[in-house]
Amino acid sequence: MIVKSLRETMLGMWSLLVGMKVTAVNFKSTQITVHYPREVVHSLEGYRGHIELVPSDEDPYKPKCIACNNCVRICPSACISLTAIKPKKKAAEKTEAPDSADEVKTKGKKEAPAKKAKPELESFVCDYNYCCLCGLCVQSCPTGALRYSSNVYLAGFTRQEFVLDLLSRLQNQAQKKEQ
Amino acid sequence: MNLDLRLDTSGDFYARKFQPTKREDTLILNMGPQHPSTHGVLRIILEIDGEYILRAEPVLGYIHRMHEKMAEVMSYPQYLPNPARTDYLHGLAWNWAHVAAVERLMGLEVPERAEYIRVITCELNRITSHLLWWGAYLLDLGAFTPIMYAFDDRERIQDILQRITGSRLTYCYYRFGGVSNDIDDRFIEETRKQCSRMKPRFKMFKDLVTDNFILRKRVEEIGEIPADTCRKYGATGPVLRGSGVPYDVRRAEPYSVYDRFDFNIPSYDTCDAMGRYLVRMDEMQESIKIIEQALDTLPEGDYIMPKAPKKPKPPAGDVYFALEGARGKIGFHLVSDGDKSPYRLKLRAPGFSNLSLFSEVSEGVLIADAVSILGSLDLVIP
Amino acid sequence: MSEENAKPEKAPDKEKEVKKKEEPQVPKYTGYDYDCFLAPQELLKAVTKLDHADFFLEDVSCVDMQEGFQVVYHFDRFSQPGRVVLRVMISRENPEIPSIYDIFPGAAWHERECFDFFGVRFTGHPNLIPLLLDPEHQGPPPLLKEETALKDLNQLYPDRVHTPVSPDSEEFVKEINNCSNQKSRNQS
Ligand code: SF4
Ligand code: SF4
Repeated sequence: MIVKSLRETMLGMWSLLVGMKVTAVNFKSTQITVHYPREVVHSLEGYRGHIELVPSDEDPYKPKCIACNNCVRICPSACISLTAIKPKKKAAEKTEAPDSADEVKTKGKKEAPAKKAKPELESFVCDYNYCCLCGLCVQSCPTGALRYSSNVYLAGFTRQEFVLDLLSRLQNQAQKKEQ
Repeated sequence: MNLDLRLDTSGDFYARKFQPTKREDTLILNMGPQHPSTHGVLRIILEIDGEYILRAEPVLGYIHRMHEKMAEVMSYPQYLPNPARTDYLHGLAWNWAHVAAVERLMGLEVPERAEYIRVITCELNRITSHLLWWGAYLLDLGAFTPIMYAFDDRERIQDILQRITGSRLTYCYYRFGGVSNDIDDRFIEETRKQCSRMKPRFKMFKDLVTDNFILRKRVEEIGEIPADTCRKYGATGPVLRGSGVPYDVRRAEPYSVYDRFDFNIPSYDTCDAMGRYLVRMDEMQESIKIIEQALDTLPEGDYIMPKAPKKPKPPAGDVYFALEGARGKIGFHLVSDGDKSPYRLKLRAPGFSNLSLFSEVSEGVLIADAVSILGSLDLVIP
Repeated sequence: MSEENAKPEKAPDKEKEVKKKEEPQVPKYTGYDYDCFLAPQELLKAVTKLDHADFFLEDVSCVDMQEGFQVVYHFDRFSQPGRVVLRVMISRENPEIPSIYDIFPGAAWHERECFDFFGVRFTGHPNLIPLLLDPEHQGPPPLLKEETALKDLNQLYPDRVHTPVSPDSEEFVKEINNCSNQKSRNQS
């Protein structure tokens, strides 16, 4: 009985020593964590940040988007909203020029066949508060006008800060590039 | 506003329901809903006599989000991101269960390469889930360091998965008919490196923790769940295998390409928390085995069906799809009426059944042991 | 399945096309190895039989349809895997069904969940109180459908037999004993 419990204690002590050895070995290894504000991680490739617009090939200030509304329809969280203006020629032909946001739906459909008359994006807002980063919008875009940004260091005091105006973001990016 | 500030001792609805059968000399204690050992928002009402638990009743639903109702109002692709949120630690398995249920109903043939990619990513995810469980369980038992070791490996795997799937926790990677993104050579190389890195780590984990006699005293012969109790309660996964029943959906009801891989199903018939602990530790090694085999035999081909339906409309009917998640059997019962959203979707969460046996198992144990039992069930509450 | 096979041989046209449309109606393997309808009063008998045959309870769920609620019980087995599903139709006006708690205590929570979401009352349940919903929840159970959205049995399960079987019948006993997913997979 006593022998048994003694033996158990000794084995227990031994197991602790073995554990301490592991700790000691690892104590000497290099640091693997990143001190966030002073350093940032660089392995952001492939990460799905919030979405952003892709500039078109000709003009870095203009997005590729054709305002087809595919992304708006597929988004499970309904966080994309966009408005577009008709190209001027077309608008002039028609007597009543649509201007409100709810016209967009009908417009998108009508414009689709007429390829030349590409509606121009007026605003493109992503409410990042509700976005679940599923990536369905990026995949459903026929022109590849959306991509994920690698903007992950987001923090703010109000919700309003995360309602992202992607069009002006695109323009800022283009400006920065020029400089 | 109610300004009556007199002390209200009757408690809420559940406490009032629980109280009348209380004995004279005992105490009623609320554990949770914000208790660190309950991993999520779980509340357990305990009737205690000194340090011993006489009765326990879990109260849940604090963060129930009604995913089943959401499924009914969303179209199939819109529901894709949801399942991963029900079990944030093994999101890919849920994601898989959802797409596979729809695929089964529509009779879609997923390209082989996609199936292999699914197996690889899902197993990687299973390892991260078990690693987190390992760290958190030991944290519950009072050991702080192991979670650091666990996170070292977990973060590396998450980096690998992030490059391919785009997220680190709540994945939305699988699509109807395949996956959303092909894997590349760098992924394969990194995964291989990680696999070979992890193998000696298990030895280290064993030295560091599993053999430690303080841990053994905390988990051995604690929370014995006989196999028949598991059956009566429908407990699956490591809980069941820790009770000596080598039942694994990957083997029992082989889905995808799991029947091509050679892996063991670890099971321990000690029925205690140690058994469940060891099952999970072994399972990680089996997962690595599966990943390596899958990488060796990865076929070329499409990663998604060329004609994968963007907006699926499965025919009317119902199917059940079960798969093995890190916590047990995940089941999707999908009833379709041929419309663009499901008519009814029932999710079977393994943790739900596993937790329901807690009140039976915890009778007569110490509170500290109850924490050990809860942790060994590996719960994810929502 | 059929669509994939049909692709290489492009020649057959109309006949195949009709088939193409019809065939996906029956999935290759639905996940069920034995599927039957039961009368509510015979549920307990059937569940007892399943208990003796070593099945475990996967879940209890419910589907709201025109004929009433369909309560669905899924069972599986460790030793010889195969899924049995029992379907019981109960009326919408008086949604009552015997609880299987005494046989499978694990059903307690699943039944409470159904009670929460559909208002189905399980008679004999020891503790039928809200589980996932707020006990102060007002209004109808959340998963009930609008009258107009309800579908009937033939719309939802076009290829199933809807006549209840008796758990005493030889067919039932034979099916649950032989039920295994290996068999039904190979058949199809
Ligand atoms: S990622 Fe998903 S949730 Fe976010 S904007 Fe795109 S579709 Fe909407
Ligand atoms: S799917 Fe693409 S092109 Fe269409 S509106 Fe959205 S961003 Fe623009």
